[in-house]
Amino acid sequence: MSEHLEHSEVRELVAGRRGARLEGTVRAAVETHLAACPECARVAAAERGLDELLGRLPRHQAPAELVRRLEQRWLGAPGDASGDPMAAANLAALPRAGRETGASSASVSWPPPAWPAPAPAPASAGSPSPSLPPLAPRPSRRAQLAAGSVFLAAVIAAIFLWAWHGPRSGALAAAPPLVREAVNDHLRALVATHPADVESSDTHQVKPWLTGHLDFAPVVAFGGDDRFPLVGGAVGYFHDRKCAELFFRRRLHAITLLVLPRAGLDWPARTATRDRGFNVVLWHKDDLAYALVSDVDPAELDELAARVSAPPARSE
Amino acid sequence: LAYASVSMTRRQREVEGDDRAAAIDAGTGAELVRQGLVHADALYHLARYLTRSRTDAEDLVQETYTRAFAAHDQFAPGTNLKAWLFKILRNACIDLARRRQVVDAAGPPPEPAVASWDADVRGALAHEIEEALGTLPEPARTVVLLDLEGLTEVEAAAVLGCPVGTIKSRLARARAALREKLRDYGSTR
Repeated sequence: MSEHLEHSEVRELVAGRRGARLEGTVRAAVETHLAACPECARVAAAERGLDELLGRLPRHQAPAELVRRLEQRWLGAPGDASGDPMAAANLAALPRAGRETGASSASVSWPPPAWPAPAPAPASAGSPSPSLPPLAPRPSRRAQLAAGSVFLAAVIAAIFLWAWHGPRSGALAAAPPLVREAVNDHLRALVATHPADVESSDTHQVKPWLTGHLDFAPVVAFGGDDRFPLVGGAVGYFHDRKCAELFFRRRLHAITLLVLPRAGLDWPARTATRDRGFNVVLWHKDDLAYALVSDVDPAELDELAARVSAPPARSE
Repeated sequence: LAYASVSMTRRQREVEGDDRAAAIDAGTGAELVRQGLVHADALYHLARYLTRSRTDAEDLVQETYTRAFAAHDQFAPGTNLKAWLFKILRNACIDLARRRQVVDAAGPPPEPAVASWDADVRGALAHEIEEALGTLPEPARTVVLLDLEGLTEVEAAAVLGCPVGTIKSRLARARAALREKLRDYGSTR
């Protein structure tokens, strides 16, 4: 069923996150309208732009101490009153002691530990008074030095192992930060509900939009086809500079193509690697750097890279 | 999309929590609250932007679960548990505002978020967005936040207790105001 939509209907449909939730024939009708109506396309792009900005709104996480109190009260921890209405009614009056200090905890455990571990015995709380006789023989200075040396050696070994294994995991010793940043951008796109600023399978819509929002022209020879359909584009950041993000698909896999100026970056001429389970292809052409990231087969990613860099025989 | 390599986040657990909520037997308030605990982050996030205070937000989240326990028989199984908890939280927030005139008062500036997934340019941008959102009146701010949380207009209308049409117009006005405040960022025009 095809639908004809008026301008006002389209603008209402693309407002807010509603646009990201459109499905089926309505979505198709909206896309058809946007492809033919520059003014509505401009409105839709503005909505996407605002969505992209709002997607960067800081996310406040519940402080660890609050989560711990809630879990203690409601997850059946020993001695609590879950299921007890009277006790639950007193929830809001839980003691606030320690709230401020607990809020600064770096991470929140979830799912929760079964029960908070009992407070460790204050064996070394404060410095023992010299006037008190030690309960156990005090370690000799030599023993302390030996223990310290072992600890220091362990720390150094851990740092060495971390440094040694870190680059190897990326298998690209020359440019792991570039690979990491490319994969991070891909992850952000995956996690985002609506990663594309401009959602369209039409390269004639996506590329001009990107060019209008960048200080360089992203040269991409391939505009999508049935094998690698173009989903949309967005403006992102790669380290210190803006980059063009183009989103393709291969079956159900998401593929992110990043295009950015390579001046000042030690960008490899061409390399393929893996990071955190994603295949990454980096290359450069003229003044532009390219990165393709996805969990598709490496051969397919290579194929797409070749098409992106190919002379634009059929794109215009 | 193939998300196999993305570690599960609490946001994803929230989504799963919604799925599980559909099967909740609301007969036990404690069970309902337990299921709702996966939304603690979302509740706290909303409360922070409503009150601009960490301690008030914590109180509101605790109050929300207490009220949810007391009113568990009003939850309709199969409906959106997160939206229901949002409604309770907002009502608690309004009660708090009546008592203390906190909401929408020209209070202290928003406290920085715990989340710090980016720095420098993105951090500054995030601060600008937070500031712009903070200038909206409470109902408009709430509608924008509920929209970002993925609630439909019908669900948002239930949270705010107003017609769906009001949500639509309020959201449109709020987003227009945000676009104007953030117009320096180009792509919102």
